Amino acid sequence: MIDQKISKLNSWFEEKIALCGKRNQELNGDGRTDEAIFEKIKANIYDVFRTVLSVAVKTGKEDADAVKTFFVQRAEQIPAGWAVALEKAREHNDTVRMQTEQIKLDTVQEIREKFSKIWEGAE
Amino acid sequence: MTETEAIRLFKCLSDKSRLQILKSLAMEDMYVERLAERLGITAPTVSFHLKKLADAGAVTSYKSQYYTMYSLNKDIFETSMLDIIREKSDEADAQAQRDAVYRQKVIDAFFEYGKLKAIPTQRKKERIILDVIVQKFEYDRIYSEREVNIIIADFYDDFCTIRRDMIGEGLMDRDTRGYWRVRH
Repeated sequence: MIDQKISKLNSWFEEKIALCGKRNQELNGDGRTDEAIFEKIKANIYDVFRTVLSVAVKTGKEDADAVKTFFVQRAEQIPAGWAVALEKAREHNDTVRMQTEQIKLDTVQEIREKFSKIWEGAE
Repeated sequence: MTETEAIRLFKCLSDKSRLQILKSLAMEDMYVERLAERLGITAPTVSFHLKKLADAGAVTSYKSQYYTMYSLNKDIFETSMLDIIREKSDEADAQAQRDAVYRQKVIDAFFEYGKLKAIPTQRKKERIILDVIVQKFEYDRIYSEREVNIIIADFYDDFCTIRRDMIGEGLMDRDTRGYWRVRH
């Protein structure tokens, strides 16, 4: 059962990373270089959490709750600095920084929701 | 527009979304959400591009009721490419400033109370001290050798070497009539 969930999540991460790579190429080809970088940022976040999942599985062994606790904890800890950076950027009206921090936070939120759905068996 | 400003502007323009934003603003002033709707990109992405365009001086903003309106900075776009190319290089200014500092350092090291302490062995440094001495000579005037020697002797006893080196460096020239300062 846990193997199925892990496999589902890994496939989803792979799909997302591939999609970002495709979008990155399309945007670069279309001369939208900054938006292409946004896709790269997203792909990096998916990749980070794919790694977090594999560490969670290794650490939690066959215990689904332990894997979940580890993953959810990291999904709260890792973006904490990004939220602070976003606030700072907002204070200084730094729209450029705000955009990149927001993309990272939105992506991690999407990951959290997906993890929750798959882990609770809703998908 | 300085060289640095031109580079920043060109870098900023090399993005299709930003060009699309500028094309829209060329028609009329717009606010973020309107631009996002027209261009099919999210409002935060439009804000991101507008910030870059504003930093490059390509757009300006103003408040209109509840909205921040963005408009094209027409002055920037009326500058011709030729004007930008002809603009004096910032690097040339910086180089000139570094040269001036170096020159002053050499002068301070080799002159004391207006007298030359020694002739520098480095040609580059000697050229600087010769430049200082040659200032004492007027343009469009022929000097006898004796006059030249007296002027140089105010700076340094070995006036023969200085006189010869000024000719060698092309700062002075001579013929049968005498010596004169060369214009550069």
